[in-house]
Amino acid sequence: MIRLLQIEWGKLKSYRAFWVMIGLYLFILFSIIFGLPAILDYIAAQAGENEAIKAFKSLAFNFPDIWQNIAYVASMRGFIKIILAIIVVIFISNEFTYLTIRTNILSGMSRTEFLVAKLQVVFLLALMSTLVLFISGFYLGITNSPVITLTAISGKLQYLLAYLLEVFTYLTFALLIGTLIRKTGFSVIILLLYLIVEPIVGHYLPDQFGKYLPMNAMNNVIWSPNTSLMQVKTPEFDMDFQTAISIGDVGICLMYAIIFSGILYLYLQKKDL
Amino acid sequence: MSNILNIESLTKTYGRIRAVDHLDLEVDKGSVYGLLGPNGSGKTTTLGILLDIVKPNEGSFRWFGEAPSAKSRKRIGASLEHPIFYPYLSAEQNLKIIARIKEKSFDDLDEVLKLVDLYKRKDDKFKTYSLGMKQRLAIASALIGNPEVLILDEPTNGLDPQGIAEIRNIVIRIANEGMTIILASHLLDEVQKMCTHVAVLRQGKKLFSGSVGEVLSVSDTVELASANLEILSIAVKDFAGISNLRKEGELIVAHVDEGVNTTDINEFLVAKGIVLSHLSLRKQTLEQQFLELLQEAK
Repeated sequence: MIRLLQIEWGKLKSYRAFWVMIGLYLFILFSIIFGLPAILDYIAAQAGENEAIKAFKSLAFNFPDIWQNIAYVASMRGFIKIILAIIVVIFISNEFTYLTIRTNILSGMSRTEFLVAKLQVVFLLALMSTLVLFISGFYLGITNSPVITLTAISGKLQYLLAYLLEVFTYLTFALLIGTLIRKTGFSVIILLLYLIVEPIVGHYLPDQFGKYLPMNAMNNVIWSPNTSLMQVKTPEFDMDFQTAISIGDVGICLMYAIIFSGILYLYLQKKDL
Repeated sequence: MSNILNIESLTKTYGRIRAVDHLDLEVDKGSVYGLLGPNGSGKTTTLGILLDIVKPNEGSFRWFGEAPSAKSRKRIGASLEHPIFYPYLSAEQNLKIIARIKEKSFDDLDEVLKLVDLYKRKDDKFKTYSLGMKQRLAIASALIGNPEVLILDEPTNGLDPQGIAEIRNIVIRIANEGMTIILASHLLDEVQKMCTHVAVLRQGKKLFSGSVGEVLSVSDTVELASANLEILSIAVKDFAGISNLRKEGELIVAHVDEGVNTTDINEFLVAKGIVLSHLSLRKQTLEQQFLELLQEAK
């Protein structure tokens, strides 16, 4: 296991384009997480220290709701996590366009090991993203919460675990696209195109099937932010908000991670490289 | 078991094309085995199958007497077709990745880099290398961890004469140390100079295999001429040790087995009442032999 990670690390550590893109991703992620409260402060100041906006800010970035809210923003469909997916697509399709997968296999890596190595990297990328959310969420929570207790902090941490699963599944999807298509540019186009294709397909499917489509399944794990403020329900404002993570939704998402890995496994076992 | 490699009835098809067609092969320990054939004769596909890059449709092979696995590939050093490395990494970084895959130490990396004369350029990125340097790096990568078998696919392809000479010297030096080498080439000269054994491939089929010496000794032909070529060709057919008769202008040309000498042929024909106006033994080069083999198979 460590050997496979060392091999992948050897491929990535001097790969400038990879680190530039990781930097870009982190920059955008931090900008959003830290930019939002700054913007709210600015709006509040412009509106003459508007109490409603101030209250919204402290509720949105309050423990424990902050975990759900930043996990929701970071996992939005076709939003910043697409950058991570593009990084994964480049990372895997390089092996096919440079033909280096051949060197890997003929030097004595099994095809299964090759897949496990890639899945490990994908998992670490998802973990890195989750850790960034944890650290920035922790900082914002500490600076915005009126009451800081251990129960408040840990209250909705399960949303970060759900985020980890959702991003990992999405990145496994990117790994699959990059492997099946093998060409970097074309894979990225397919990845983006799929964001449009799935809603169209979903539109023609009966409602009860729509949620089983892969993107929907991933997004259903964390599907709406939930602040105390937004829980207000009136006849005019009658929207559902997520109050808990459904085990069923987690199960469907997990199943997709397994299906994508399974297809990758079969493909890599059978195909000429 | 002294067999390093056994191939049985290996077949790979791409649509209607048979890239490798029921190929059987045995490679002994310590031999330098040449796979000789024109472009598209299935050499690279065969090597690809042996290294798990290409999946065969039929047939099987065994490395070191065992079913092939990632473990057996770690005992083999190989470079396929074009040199393949991560372009954005240096030579040394590329070799470290391969050493890690092979579970070998980094101790001999400097040594293999020096052997192919790339030590001074080891920190430069692969994409800055010339073709000759890339080819040499491919050989260096195949030598990591002192493998039991070395597989080289067209190692001198696209090189200038000096580059070709350098690579041949390296391979001959390694072969002299007793390493088993499998070398694919479309150049007869190369196989003749470097190999102990050869298999000639054409359209995925093995036409011939044996030691290079054997190929050379059976490759003698005899030229005959007399007043009446028709009678001559009928008469000479009865002579044991002559085969593959054909007319070449005013001559009859035929294969002769080893040990047959021209005096015997002459005496045989004189006894039949035929007087020869021309009789000479022609030692064939491997090249003529190779072209002839390809012709016959058509």
